[in-house]
Amino acid sequence: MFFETWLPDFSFLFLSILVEGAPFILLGTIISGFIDVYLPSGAMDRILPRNRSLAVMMSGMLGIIFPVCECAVVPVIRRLVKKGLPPACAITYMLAAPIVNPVTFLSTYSAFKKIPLEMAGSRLLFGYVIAVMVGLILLRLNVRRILKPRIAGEIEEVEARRAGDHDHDHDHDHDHDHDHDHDHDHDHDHEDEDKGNRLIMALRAAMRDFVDVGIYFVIGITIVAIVNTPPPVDQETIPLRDYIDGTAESTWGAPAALMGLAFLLSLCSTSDAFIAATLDAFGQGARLAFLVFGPMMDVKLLFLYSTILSRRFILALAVGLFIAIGVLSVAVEPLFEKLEKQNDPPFSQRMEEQGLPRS
Amino acid sequence: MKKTTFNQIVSSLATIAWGTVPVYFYAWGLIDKYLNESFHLIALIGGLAMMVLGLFNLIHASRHVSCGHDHSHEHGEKDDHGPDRDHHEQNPVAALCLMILPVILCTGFTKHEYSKEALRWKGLYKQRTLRSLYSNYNAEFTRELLEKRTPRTGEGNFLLQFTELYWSAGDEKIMKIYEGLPAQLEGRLIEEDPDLNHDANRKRLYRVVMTCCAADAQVLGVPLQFGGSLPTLPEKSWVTARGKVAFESIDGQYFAYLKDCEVEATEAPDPRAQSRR
Repeated sequence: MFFETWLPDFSFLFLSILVEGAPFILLGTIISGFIDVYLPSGAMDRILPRNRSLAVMMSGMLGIIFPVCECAVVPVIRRLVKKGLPPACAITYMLAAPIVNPVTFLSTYSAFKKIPLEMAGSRLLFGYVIAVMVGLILLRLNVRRILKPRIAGEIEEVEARRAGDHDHDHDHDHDHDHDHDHDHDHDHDHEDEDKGNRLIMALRAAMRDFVDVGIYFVIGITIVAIVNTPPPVDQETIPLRDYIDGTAESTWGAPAALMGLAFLLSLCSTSDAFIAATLDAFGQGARLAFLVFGPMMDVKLLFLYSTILSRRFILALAVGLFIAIGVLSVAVEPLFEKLEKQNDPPFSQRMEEQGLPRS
Repeated sequence: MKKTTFNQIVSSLATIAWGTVPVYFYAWGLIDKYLNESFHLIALIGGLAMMVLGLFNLIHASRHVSCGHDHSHEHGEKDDHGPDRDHHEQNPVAALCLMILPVILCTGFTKHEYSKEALRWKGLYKQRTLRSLYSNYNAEFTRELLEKRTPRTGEGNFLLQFTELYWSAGDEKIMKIYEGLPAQLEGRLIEEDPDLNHDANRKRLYRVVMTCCAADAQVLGVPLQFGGSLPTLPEKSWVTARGKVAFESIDGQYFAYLKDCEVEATEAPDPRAQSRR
C-alpha cells in the first residue's frame, strides 16, 4: 500500500507544488540578488517617510508597485532587512504584498461573480489593515525579538558601521583594498569589468538565497503533500474536506476551519480565490478569512518565514493573525449577507461564467 | 579547491536540478497533469531560468569577484554586503541533499496521476453542491435556451461540459431542465463505489479539475448506468459516454447520472484545445 499508492500520490502532490512555487521563489531571489548588489544600504530609509508609523502604512501599499506573491516576497524582504529596511516595515510589506496587489485583486474580482467588487475590495482592505496593524505593533518591539539572532546580529553590525562612518573623517576609507589587485598593468575598460563583477555577484547572491529558501520550501511542501495524501492505512478514511464542510453553519467554526484549510493547502494568493469561490457552503465572511489568512500564514510560509524570523515570533504571529482575521470575518458576515441579497445577478447557465474551473 | 568554490558548485547543481523538473515535464507533455494551464508557461520559464542561473554560477564558480567600486563611500558606509558574500545558512552538502534527493525520489515514484484511493479521498464518490449557482437563478434559463446554446452531435446528443452536468444536481428547477436530455460526455472510466452499485450495473465517469496545481484538485464523478453488460475497458480509460441525464437522491443528496449508457474508448483530450473551446 505504501509503495503502491501512498508514495506515488505523495510524489505527485510534492512535484505539483514544487513546479508551481519554485518559479516564484526564483523570481524573489533574483530580485533579492540585485537588491544586494545594486541597492545601497540606507536607500530604503530615504524612500520611506521618516515617521515610522507612516512608513509602515506606506509599506503596506508597496505591493501595488512591486506585486509579488507570498513565495517571492520572503527572499526580497530578507534582503531588504539586511539592507536596513526596518523589520516593522518589511513584515508589513511581507504580509500585505501577496494580497494588496493588482493580480490578486483581479483574480478575486473574477472568481466572485455575485459581489466581485465587494469581495475583492474587502480582501484588499482587510489584508492591508491586518498587515499595518502587525507593523505598528512591531514598531514597539526590539528587532532581536522579531528576527533570527544571526540576522539581527548582521543588522546591528551594519548599523554600527554606518553610525561609525558618520563619526569620523571619511577620507581614510578610501585607503582600503577592495580585493582586486592594482599592481599589474591593465588596459581593459575597468568600468566594464566592474559591471561584469557586479552581475556575477548579483546572480551569485540570487542563487545563494534560492538554495537557502529552497530548503525551507522543500520542508514546507513535504508537510503539505503529506497532509493532502490519503493515509497509507487499509481502512475507510474521512477526507479532510468532509470535516471542513461540517463546520459551514458555525459562526466561529466556519472561519476557523477555512483558515485551517488555507494553512494546510498553502495555495498561491494569485489563484486561491477560485478555490474560495467553490466553498459556497460557507458564508462570505468565512471565505474572506480563507483569502486573507492563507497568503499571510500557511505551512510552506511557516518554513519560509523561519529563514528570517525567530520561531517564537512566527508562532505569535500565526496565533495573532488567526484571532484577528477570525474576529474580523465574523464581524463582517452580516454585512455580506445583506450585500448578497441586494446584488442578485441574473442566473447564468454556463459554469465558467460562475468562476468555476474547466473540466 | 577552495571552500567557496565548492559551495558555488554544489549550489549550482542544486539549482540546475530543480530547473530540470518543470522543463522535463513541459517537454514530455506531462505538465498539464501537474498544473493548470495558466501556470504552464510560468513553470517552463522558471525552469529554464533556474538552469541558466545554475549554469552561469557554475561557469563562474572559481572566479573571485568583489564589488570593485566605491558605492560605500558615496553613502557613508563600507561595503556592507561583503561579510555575507559566500555565507550559506546551511551546510552546502546538506543543502544539496535536501534539495535534490526529494526531487529525484519523487520524480522516480510519481505516476503523474492520483491513485484510486486518492481519487476517492478527493471526492470521486461525493456530490458537492454550489448554492450560489442556483440560489439566484431567474426565469431566463429554460430547456429551450439550454438546447439552443449547447452543441449537438450528429446523433442528437448534447455535448455537455462535465462540470455543467455535475453541478446541475442541486436545484429542483435546474434538474427538471436537464432531466431526460440525451447527452454526451468525455471523461475517465472507473469502478463504481460498491455501496452505490447494488444492481452491479454501474461504472463512474470522472474528471480531475484543478485551479492551480494537482494539490488543490477536485475530483468530480458522474455515475453511468448500463442497460446491458458492463464495458470491459481498463480502469481510468478515457471514454466518450452517451446516455440520458437522470437524477437520484441518496441520503437527501441529489446526484446527476447518465442512464441507458454506452461508452467507447477515446483519446485523452488536449487541454489546450479544450480551453479554447
